[in-house]
Amino acid sequence: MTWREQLALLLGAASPFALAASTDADTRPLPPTLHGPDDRHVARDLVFWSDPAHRSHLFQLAAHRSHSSHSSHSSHSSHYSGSGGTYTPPYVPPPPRPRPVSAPPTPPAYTPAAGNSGDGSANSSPDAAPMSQADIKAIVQRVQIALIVQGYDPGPADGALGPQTQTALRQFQAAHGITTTGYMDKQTLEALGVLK
Amino acid sequence: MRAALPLHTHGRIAGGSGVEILKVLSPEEAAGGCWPAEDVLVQEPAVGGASMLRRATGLPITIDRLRDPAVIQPGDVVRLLEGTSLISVLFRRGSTSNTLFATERCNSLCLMCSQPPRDEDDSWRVAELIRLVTLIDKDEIQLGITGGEPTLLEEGLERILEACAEHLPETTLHILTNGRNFADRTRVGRLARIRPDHTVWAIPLYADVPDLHDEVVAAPGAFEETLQGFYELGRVGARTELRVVLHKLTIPRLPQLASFIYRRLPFVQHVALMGLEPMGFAKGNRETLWIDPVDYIPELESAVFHLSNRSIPVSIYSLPHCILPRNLWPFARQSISAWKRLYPDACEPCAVGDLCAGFFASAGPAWRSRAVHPLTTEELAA
Repeated sequence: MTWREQLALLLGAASPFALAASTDADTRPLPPTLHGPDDRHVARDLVFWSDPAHRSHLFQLAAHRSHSSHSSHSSHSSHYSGSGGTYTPPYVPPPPRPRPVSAPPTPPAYTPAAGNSGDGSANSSPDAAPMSQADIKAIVQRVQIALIVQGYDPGPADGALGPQTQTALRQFQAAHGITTTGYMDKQTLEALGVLK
Repeated sequence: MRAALPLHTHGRIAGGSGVEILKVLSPEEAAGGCWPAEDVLVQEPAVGGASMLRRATGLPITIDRLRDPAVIQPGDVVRLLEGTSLISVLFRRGSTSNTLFATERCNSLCLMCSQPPRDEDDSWRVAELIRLVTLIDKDEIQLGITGGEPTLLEEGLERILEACAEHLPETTLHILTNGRNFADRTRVGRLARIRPDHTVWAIPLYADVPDLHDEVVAAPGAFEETLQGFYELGRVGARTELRVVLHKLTIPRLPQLASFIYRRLPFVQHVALMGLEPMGFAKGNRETLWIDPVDYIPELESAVFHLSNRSIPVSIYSLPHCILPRNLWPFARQSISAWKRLYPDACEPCAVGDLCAGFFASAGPAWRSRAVHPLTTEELAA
């Protein structure tokens, strides 16, 4: 499968986000910084991850490839223990809920100026960098590992979002009361513990 | 090693009297007015790297020179004690590990107790906890109550539960108790009726026979009381969870215990089989308790599948994925709370990373299974 096909699956038209955003994404020029000189870089991910906050999440995820950026206090882990006793929670995970009060800091908005001008190092954050095929693959692989760890069968953790992985995603979504799209939307990634 | 964010730090505290329990908020959220201004410490944006906390209304309080500024974040509830520099985080926003510590007293003396009891009157905690409950985020999903034995607070626990019902109507309470006091039907009646749908009573049972259970909890007659406690809770339809700590004494009869649970306690909503936490008494009883988890996989598998095949939800806590066979992975939960979870250096290359349970920060190499190893992507691709 080519990377373009992988990406088509990843961002597939079946995603409600993609459908909702595609019409105006087609007419709106992308921020110039995202047109990388290398065609292998993916600009279309913006359609899916059009919210800059989501996009920075996605990059954090890609960084997991190197296992160098583990959150030291993963505050959204799915279980807990307390100050006394071996303290762990009931079986049924609480339904995932948005927690607006603890939303991640919003990275700079996507304006043409925010990408590569101004104070150099501060703005060379991952937010501004184009996403590569390797990034996407790393994210898919991370999701596959999370599915395997939780007892689902996405097939080999090879970084390709094939039919078996999508089936596993649907099963996971169904079990967690998430719309069963088979795609890696934000809610699913959070429920998987892949996005903190 | 990746360690967790601590729950305490020190700083220069000026003002305040006695014990102050306050909500830390960003200036924007404080301006929102959801919390009474006299309960709020405003965390002012760091100027030159030094963040400062300030109470604007009432008796002024300022805190600066925080030793570890990351410990305190907007949304947290902190406790200050007059005349000291200690700042304790009682509630951490976004954490799934938030608990109310009810009492240090206990009527059992378990061999592996991670929080050895102290027989001191600490009923002052009740007022502090009720104060804390009023400052917890209303959208908190779940809150633990632990000890000690919380039911020893008697009507104090009732008042705490009622405060939770009033201030946190959406929050589920998960209460760790040995259940022995529930053998008394009158106590069940009062406690279990406060908010039955939002309360889970988590009770340990270590064996299917009284002799062994009583030995583990070092309290003769405890088995009968705990079993009766389960029945009394079950009688009124309270939600119960049964917990087993896995160690050298409990492993041999684990398969029989699973069978006993299905026959005698089929109404429990969840069974948690938990790795040993090397804290408190457990450290001194290593000879009695330690068994390498890889050596009890057959008993664990037997118990897990006996219960799971009979539709009793079962989980494995505190054991890392790398020592479990793949067929047990669906049952393994990331159960160790964030602030005491640790991944040793050996885990750095692991493909699973922090999706696994990790290790208790208190667990030195002597408490680590010989089977611990980083999992590779190739292994997972198989």
